[in-house]
Amino acid sequence: MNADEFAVRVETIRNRLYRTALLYLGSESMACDALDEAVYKALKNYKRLRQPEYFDTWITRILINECHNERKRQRRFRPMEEAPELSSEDYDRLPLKEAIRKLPKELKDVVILRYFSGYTLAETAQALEIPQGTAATRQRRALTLLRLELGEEGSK
Amino acid sequence: MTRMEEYQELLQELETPSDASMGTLGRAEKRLQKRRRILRPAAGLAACFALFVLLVNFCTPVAYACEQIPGLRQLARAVTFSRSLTDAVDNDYVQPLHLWQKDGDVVAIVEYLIVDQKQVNVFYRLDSDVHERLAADPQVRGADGGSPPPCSWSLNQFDVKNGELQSLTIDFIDEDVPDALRLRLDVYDNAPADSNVGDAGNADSRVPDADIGADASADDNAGEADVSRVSAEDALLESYASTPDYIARFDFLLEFDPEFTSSGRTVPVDQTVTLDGQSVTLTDINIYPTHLRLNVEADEDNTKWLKRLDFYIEMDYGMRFDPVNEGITATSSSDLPMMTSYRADSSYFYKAKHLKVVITGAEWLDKDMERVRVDLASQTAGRLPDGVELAEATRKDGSWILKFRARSRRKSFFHQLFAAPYYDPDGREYSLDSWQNGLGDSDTEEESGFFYTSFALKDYPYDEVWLSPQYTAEWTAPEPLVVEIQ
Repeated sequence: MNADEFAVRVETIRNRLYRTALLYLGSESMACDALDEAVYKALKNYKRLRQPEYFDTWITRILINECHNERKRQRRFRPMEEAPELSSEDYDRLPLKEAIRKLPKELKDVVILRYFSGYTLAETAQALEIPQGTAATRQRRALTLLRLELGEEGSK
Repeated sequence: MTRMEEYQELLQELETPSDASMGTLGRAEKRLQKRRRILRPAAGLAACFALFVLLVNFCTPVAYACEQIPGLRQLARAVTFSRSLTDAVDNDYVQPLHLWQKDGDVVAIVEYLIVDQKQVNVFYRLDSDVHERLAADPQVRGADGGSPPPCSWSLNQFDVKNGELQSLTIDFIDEDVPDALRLRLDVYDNAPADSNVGDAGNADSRVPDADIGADASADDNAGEADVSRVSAEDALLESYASTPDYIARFDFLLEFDPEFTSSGRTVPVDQTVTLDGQSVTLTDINIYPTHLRLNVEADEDNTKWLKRLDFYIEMDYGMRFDPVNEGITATSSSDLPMMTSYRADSSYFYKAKHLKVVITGAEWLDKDMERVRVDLASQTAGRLPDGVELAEATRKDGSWILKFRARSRRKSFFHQLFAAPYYDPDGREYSLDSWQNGLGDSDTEEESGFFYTSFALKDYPYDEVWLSPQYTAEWTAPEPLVVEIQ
């Protein structure tokens, strides 16, 4: 992959990455920071990526890591913000956006990639480096908690 | 509103493009360009003076729980010379400190440590209202101030502006990093003397000018070229100038958290490969946060010593980790002229599921070429490394100045031709203190693709010398050789 191809690939996926980060972090500025950091790291390292066909899931994984890092940084500044684990009923009472953010990390990763960022189940599993069966299980669990009735391949 | 309606609304909300995200690629490119501007001078210096900075000894640190790290951006800028350290900073693998000392007009602050089982990186600042350009000679000792433990250390940057973050790396080859070390910084004013700026033979310049050879050969004016040449020779003879006048001294006790000093892990490999007809066994890989070590053994029946292994480590998604090219790149575990442990960028923070070593080439030294004779009087030499020839041998003030012409391996890149030890006709051993590299006149086709290496045999009365070639030849694998290890 050369610099021009990298630029095209980033521009193609930029909106999807931004949506992913926005849902993770809930703030435009934090989402932009995470996106900037992810694109910078990808730019630094894309020549090491010997299988360009994995570019989308590779950069998405970088972005997810950045989102988690950003949340860790936020927790350092506001440690009291951490909420206890919620019950099924608690999720039901929350607006969808909030409920997604309150999901356990492994469920949130799957549901955001599957139903908001437009990845297939296989791509989601690849980006998160988990077996597809595990991704499917987490997807079902997340949809149950959110009371969302979406198909196996969901909406893009 | 039902959950499905909420879902559709949220999808629409997320579809709205954000202006702020539009420039993300441009911002990344600018940031990378800035990073490269910082990196280039450091890499250039390291290439020219690989031998100059390594000293042998030992040391200690202080560890604090890694909570939040202020000034992380400055630290990120200070580690651009190393991918592993950059990854360490990205992953908050940093011990923040704030050890502050003042001596006269100079302030020294040790701000961060990046420590693992085998390496300590100390990040510090020097500042003064009086002195324009401070520099320090570091010394590392045991925590009790006694004799130093077995380690080597080197500065990672030269000519750093006052107040900017700089670093040194303390390396442990066989031993592990101890619980604590003591770092002494002897500080001097490195501002150039006004009257001698640009003089290659300036005794105040503690680092020899890397381009002395190029200056002399590129000069069109014959008279001026002669002047430059005299300066170049003087510089070679004076390259180890007297100790500078120190203006301040600092002594920091650095204590390390045991969690950081036990952070390495080993992946067994134990696979034998044949490279260029020589048998080499990859024994294991040590993965530390600051670097990775690929350890090898060679069959004693081999006809060549392995001097360099060209390889990279590949993990999931084809992610590559290349050999390090600054500081210590490989080490030997014995007195044999063979490198047995090779360093690469670390995969420590990537939690790789699959790892493989991909070997692409090697550098060999024939076992019958460990020493080569140079007849100084007749300016002739025995067998030299591939692409190297003796350009001239000049007698000056009881010393010999030798100059070799070598084919470059890539544009503007100098590689090492000879190891430090050399021998007189009676077999007595001496050691090269330093050497200088310079490009030839690249305007002529004949000189393009070559560089020159010069060094002095100081106070050397003999007319012949036995040098220790660094290599005989490079070898490129016809096909990359893949060794699966995990």
